Amino acid sequence: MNTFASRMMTLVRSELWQRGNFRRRLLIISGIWVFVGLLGTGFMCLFAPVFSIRVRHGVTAPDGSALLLIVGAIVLVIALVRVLSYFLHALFDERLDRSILFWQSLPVSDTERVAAKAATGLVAIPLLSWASAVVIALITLFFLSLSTSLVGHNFWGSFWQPVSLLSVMGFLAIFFPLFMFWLFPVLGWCLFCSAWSSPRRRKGAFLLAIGIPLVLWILEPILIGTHYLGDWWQLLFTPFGRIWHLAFLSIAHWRNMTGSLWPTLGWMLTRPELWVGGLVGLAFSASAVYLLHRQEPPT
Amino acid sequence: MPVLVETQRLTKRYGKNCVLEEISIKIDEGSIVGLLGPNGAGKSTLLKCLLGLIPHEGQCRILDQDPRQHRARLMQEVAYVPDQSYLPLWLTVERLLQLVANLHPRFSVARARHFLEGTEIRDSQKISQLSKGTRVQLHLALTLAIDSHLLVLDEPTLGLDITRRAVFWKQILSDYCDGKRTLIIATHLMQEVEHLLSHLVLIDRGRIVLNQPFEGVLERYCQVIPRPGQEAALRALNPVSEEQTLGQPVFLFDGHPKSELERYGTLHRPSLAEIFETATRRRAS
Repeated sequence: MNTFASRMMTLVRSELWQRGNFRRRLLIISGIWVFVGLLGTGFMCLFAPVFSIRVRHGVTAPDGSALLLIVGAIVLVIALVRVLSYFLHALFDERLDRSILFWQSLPVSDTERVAAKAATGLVAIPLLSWASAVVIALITLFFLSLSTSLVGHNFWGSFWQPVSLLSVMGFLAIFFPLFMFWLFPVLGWCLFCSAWSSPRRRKGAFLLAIGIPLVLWILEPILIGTHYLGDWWQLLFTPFGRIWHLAFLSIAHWRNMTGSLWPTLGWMLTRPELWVGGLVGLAFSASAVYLLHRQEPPT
Repeated sequence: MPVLVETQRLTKRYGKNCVLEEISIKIDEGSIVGLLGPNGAGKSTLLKCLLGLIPHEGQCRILDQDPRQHRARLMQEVAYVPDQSYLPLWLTVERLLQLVANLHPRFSVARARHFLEGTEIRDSQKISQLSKGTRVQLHLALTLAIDSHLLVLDEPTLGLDITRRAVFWKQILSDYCDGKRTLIIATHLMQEVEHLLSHLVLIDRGRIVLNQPFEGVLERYCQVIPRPGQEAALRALNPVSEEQTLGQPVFLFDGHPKSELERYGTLHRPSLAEIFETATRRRAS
């Protein structure tokens, strides 16, 4: 079987292998988290009666999805940093360690390689991050249910409402990759810079990716008197801001915000900026392919 | 024999520096070509041009395709080992085999394992944990496990000890060469490959100094150790070189009838290095 889809899967898998063993990492984090949960529950057992620890007055039926949403928002920040770093290194590291000669000796085109890298950053890493968020949130929720029950509150039923939990899980599963696609102009730019920068300069890709937009952002109001870049930058992080705002509201009142979450997806999908940005990201990726084809393997 | 590789006036420049100058060669299917020359002669650059890895001037066609335009498609038929093993260090051996099997339609894991038998390479080992020589062994096993029409080896045995080198060349002859497959070997270790070759391309400072079937080269060049008193007669026949070896003059002739030379001394086959040196010197003069 050597179809395009199977080849892409293989290339994406190899990209993930390069970034370490995800399953092992998730297992370690989960193990640590379970340990922290056990420790917390133990402390709760010991010290709740001594210090009269009580659940805050007014919290009657806390919804577990609030915790899932805040963990999701935190993991999204980590995923964003990982994806940015991934795109900055994606086409740079293989030229630095010269493994590009190995890839070029295989029947894999430059377009396939760049497409696999884009798919890894836009889909695979966000979905793996989502899986981590869900596992961490569920472990936390379990120990929170256990701890509160030890101080006389049975929140098992309200915490573990399958409909609201599944709804937030589903939302995050779509939002994680969609948000990365929303940022595709920036991520595509990073990919382009990683193909553009010389392997002789270790921080070259990073400096190009930051330096050029920064200079343009400073010069734009001075030279032409407009603020398009600043406005666009603000728009770019609007969905991120919305999710964080909802996550804060959700955890502050322990309530289900699903009703306010889904419209954010609708808003993103109907914005022309999403599709124009997608085209810009695609153009940067195509330029990266062109650069790869033009470049000479390191000697 | 159909022509497998053909270049016409292939030229490569880096700024003003011309590293390959108007290279025109034809390689027939089934031949074993030695692309020989000293360090910095342009061998690796020529191979990279042939494989479409770098832009160049002039024409180049492999298996009737333009390698610059169709590198990925071409690599289904061509196997290539660069001058150093640059396998991805983060992969384990098992994953590397799996990866290449999924990406290369002509790669056989069973064949790769056959070539890895007798080595110290284990599936669970990460490539970063392997020594330089072992990485080369792994890379060569991967390449030989590809059922390719053309195998391009750039200094393939660099980093291998003398025993491993011998084993490798034996494997090339017994398991790879079947009369239909074509092999291009670029090396500066001329004596290591001369028993394999059917065609010889000598290259120096980006120019071809000799391009001929190997048998023709052997017919053409002849070394003569003169019998006592025959030195003057041999000198009169215009040898291309005369050198003193162990206090004895040794003459090298190019294209002189062997029957005539036999009258003046003992005939020997010159080494490739001696032929190369002579061809280079004559071109320079």
